[in-house]
Amino acid sequence: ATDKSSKMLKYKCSGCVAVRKLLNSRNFSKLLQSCTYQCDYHKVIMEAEDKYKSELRKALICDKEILLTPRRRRQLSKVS
Amino acid sequence: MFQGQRGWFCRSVSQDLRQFWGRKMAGQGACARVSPEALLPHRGWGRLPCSALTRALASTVDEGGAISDAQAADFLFSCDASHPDTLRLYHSTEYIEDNATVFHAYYLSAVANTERKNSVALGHFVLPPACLQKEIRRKIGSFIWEQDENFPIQKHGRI
Ligand SMILES: [Zn+2]
Repeated sequence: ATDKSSKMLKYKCSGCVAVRKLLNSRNFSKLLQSCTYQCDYHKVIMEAEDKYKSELRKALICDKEILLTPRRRRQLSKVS
Repeated sequence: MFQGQRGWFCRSVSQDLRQFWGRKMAGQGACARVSPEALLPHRGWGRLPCSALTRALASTVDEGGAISDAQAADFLFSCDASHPDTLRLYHSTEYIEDNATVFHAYYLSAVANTERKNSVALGHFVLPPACLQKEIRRKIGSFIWEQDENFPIQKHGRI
């Protein structure tokens, strides 16, 4: 297994080579996304995280809609 | 090395690694005071050659970083993606909006264990949510922070 991931790092991307002074927890995923080439290691992690984030985003929107519904209904009844 | 930078630490990160990073931010009391969480047992600490690591860290002064809360932090460190502290981050809007990458705190031990401190790639220590790790492992083999050769200890310890 160890072999596999070191092979995957044979080609490095900006997620691999960016110096720490320029990257932190706040800009790392954007840096990775903006770069045209991602190594296999970062690509796999990024794709998995992106999928997870979009699921969370969807869940969040659903929650909000449930929360908003009574108020929206009230507003609508005020208007009419 | 970490001067002027703020780090947040999950309670899964050992006290050694926090001390290596730096101190609690001024105003929060004396830095030498032991926080209650330091007394808790550390989780996610099993895989590393512990004795060598502790030895290497014991001789190191702190590297000048500051410890802050998650919102103010530039760097988010954890040793356990399923720890409640870290889970809270993964469920935050900051994370969803790509503004909060969690790094494995073994980055710090990798830095502590090499002379070329700036050569350790922080980007290799991304810690994804626990529920994704199995799937990722299937594709990449193992995470870089799971591999012992990233923690060379021959220079200081081991004798
Ligand atoms: Zn890469």
